[in-house]
Amino acid sequence: MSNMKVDTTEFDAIVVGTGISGGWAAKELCEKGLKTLVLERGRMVKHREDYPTANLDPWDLPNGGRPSAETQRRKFKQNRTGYTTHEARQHFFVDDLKHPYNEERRFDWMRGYHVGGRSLMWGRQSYRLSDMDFEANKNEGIAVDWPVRYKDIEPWYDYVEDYIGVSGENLGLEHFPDQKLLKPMNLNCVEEHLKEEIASNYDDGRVLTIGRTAHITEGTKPGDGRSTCQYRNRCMRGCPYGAYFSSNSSTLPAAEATGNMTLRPNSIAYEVIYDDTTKQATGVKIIDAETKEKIEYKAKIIFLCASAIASTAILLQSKSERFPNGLGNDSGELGHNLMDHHFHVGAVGDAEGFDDKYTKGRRANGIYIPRFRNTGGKTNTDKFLRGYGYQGGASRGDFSEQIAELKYGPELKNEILKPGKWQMNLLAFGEALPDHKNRLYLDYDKLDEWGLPTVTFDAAFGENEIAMREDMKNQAVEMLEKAGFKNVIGYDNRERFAMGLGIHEMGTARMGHNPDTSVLNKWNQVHACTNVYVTDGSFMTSAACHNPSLGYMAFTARAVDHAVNEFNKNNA
Amino acid sequence: MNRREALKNLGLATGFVVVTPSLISLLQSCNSAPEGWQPVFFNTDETTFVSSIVDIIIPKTEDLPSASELNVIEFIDKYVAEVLDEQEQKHMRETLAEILNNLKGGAENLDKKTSDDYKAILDKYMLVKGEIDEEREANPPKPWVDHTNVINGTKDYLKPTKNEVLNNLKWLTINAYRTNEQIGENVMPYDPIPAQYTCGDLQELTGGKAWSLS
Ligand SMILES: Cc1cc2nc3c(=O)[nH]c(=O)nc-3n(C[C@H](O)[C@H](O)[C@H](O)COP(=O)(O)OP(=O)(O)OC[C@H]3O[C@@H](n4cnc5c(N)ncnc54)[C@H](O)[C@@H]3O)c2cc1C
Ligand code: SF4
Repeated sequence: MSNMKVDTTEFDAIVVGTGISGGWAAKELCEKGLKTLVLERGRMVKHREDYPTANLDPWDLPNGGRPSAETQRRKFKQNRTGYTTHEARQHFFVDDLKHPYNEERRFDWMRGYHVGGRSLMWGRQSYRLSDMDFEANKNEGIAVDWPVRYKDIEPWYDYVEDYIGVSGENLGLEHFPDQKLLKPMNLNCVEEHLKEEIASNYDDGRVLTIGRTAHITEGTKPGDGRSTCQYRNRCMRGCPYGAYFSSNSSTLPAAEATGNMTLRPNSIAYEVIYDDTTKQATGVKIIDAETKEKIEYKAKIIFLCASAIASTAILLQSKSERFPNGLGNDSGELGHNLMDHHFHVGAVGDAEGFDDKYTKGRRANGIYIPRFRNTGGKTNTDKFLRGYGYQGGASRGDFSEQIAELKYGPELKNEILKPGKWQMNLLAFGEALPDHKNRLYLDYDKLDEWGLPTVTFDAAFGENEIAMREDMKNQAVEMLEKAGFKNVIGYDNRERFAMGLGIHEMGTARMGHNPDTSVLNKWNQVHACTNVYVTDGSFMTSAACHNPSLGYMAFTARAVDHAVNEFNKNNA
Repeated sequence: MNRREALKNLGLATGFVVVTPSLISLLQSCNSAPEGWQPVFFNTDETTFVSSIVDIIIPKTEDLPSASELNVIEFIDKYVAEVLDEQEQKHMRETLAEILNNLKGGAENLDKKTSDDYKAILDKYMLVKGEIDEEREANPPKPWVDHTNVINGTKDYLKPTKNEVLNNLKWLTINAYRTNEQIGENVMPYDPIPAQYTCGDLQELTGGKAWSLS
């Protein structure tokens, strides 16, 4: 192309994306001595400096933080969560008019385009996959087998947990592995009560524990001044204490400190350049988001960490004679098997007898009930495959109930300053099966302002998920009722929500043993172009039932280790 | 449809509402807006009406200011101007006009109305739990069909009933009051950096009040 500028710097590696996986790739590559170019499509966000709302109280925000009509209009897809467009945090979510995508069927794609990606806004729940998860596809004859087992990834989970700091409680369950954990946050008194009740009401192995979350609960961690959580619950705005893990506070400062990182914000990667003589990639093409200049960068190793959908879109755009349907797409699976977790199902109930109790502090964490379905023996059901876990928690609500029958006056005024009743919510997150029919593809007729094709989604949850939801609701109701909660209401918001809202999109460049049926091998390398590694959620061969990002970190660190070993062999 | 749902449909759910920081020359008059302040959205009658009912909803008491003393009207006016879209504003204005016509009876303006007249309007049209909104029953929201609106970012606009507008104003008043800086820092217990999470005795922790930050 005529207006393409070729940058002649010889980088050892290029990382695309600075979110959870890109930050880890950058840190590991730089610490292992590789000159690394880190490309990020969004603007710079500096730890602390660029968290403009971190210390604002409700009265400091316009309209108390309620999204303005303009925010709702420009971010109408991001608005679908109901919480991401709050004025204290909407600046970390994309403008849907500027960054459009298309939906054959509704898909909620929640994104942040800036340095740090969604590591700044994530919910920080951090769990490990187990062999039950790695073996499920194989045992059930679903999709393809994972080319990895727990023992392969276990040391890398240890490694990343030690570095970032994850708090929680180990339970010694085989299907829900123990982790390297900092001291757990506290349950509140109502949650303690439910925990005891579950322990005495069930003998099928179900337990309630505190959520495992990437917050420092004791001491400090490496990075840019990372210290202990202050229980302010303003994490999604960026944490001035660096108390939860983000790329901005942890991995990017570590990469920076080596002197090996060149970070280039405003760089939209759109193609990996493939050389058929060497069967390797030679670099990455970008468009500068601001100047619209096109630049080609060269490197020996490429890490795609732009998040599942974006990395898949880059591969699909990387067309060559050898790969007419996108780089690494010999199998035809690239863009397929899109997964997310299904939720918006569970139960709520009122706790009585705790009116004289209240909490101090705002805990940015909830409870967790690990999977207890289809884990063997009497937990097995023939109604659906796989299982689910519960998140949620107990808290005192606001005054609404107390004033429900009051119109106005001094009595109402008195009530609105008091805490409301205690309520317990059990919110289930279930595993979704990989399905070739669930996919994304590129629309070359609808281009964005940089002339790049837009992503179209065509996916939905399937029968197994729908069958699972019945149990997700019923078990929540039963656990609360048996524990003596009042006014227990089961809910299933199935019709109204769509895939994507779990914000765990994954699977669109899956790993596998066989190049005919998968895109990546067991080291996260593109089968037929081995110096391209894809380590964001797109590699996931199955979804398990819990929050996945900790796994992206572990697989990224492992893949870098592999890549650097290969690199050193070649350069020896 | 219950009230909460109605509020949500109207884009006026109950959470997070606040008064602008400017604090307050203490205004004694029961239905006057802050001095020198110009409404962005409300016209004269609307301003008179809203600034009157906010003080009926949250009157002055021995130890705590009334809603108007905390400029709640200014907050509500700005909120309606910035958070509601044009169609929602139009609908709100239409319903407010119906309420105002009722209140005026034959009168030219609201000059002679007393707080009893305002209360009578609230008693008549502002419904609470267990009461049925006949206006809404007669004109129910369309059932949810599919995801088309969500995908396109379009809305099924629903003109609020008198009850819904009055309840919206009630919630806006309460939330504006509760998240006002004065109330949030000095009246309700304020704990910006708790540094811990524990369960404890309500009286010991806050003397029975709710924390201002959540
Ligand atoms: C509100 C919320 C709550 C969540 N809660 C949890 C949770 O509790 N636990 C959990 O495990 N996960 C959670 N997630 C999901 C988690 O954030 C993601 O799984 C994780 O961030 C994915 O990491 P990533 O590196 O793949 O992508 P991201 O973190 O999204 O980073 C991708 C980066 O790549 C950049 N990029 C995209 N396209 C290009 C391009 N073409 N060129 C250059 N750069 C590009 C983006 O701008 C971004 O910076 C949550 C997400 C959200 C939004
Ligand atoms: S709750 Fe903890 S991690 Fe979250 S913003 Fe506050 S101090 Fe930071």
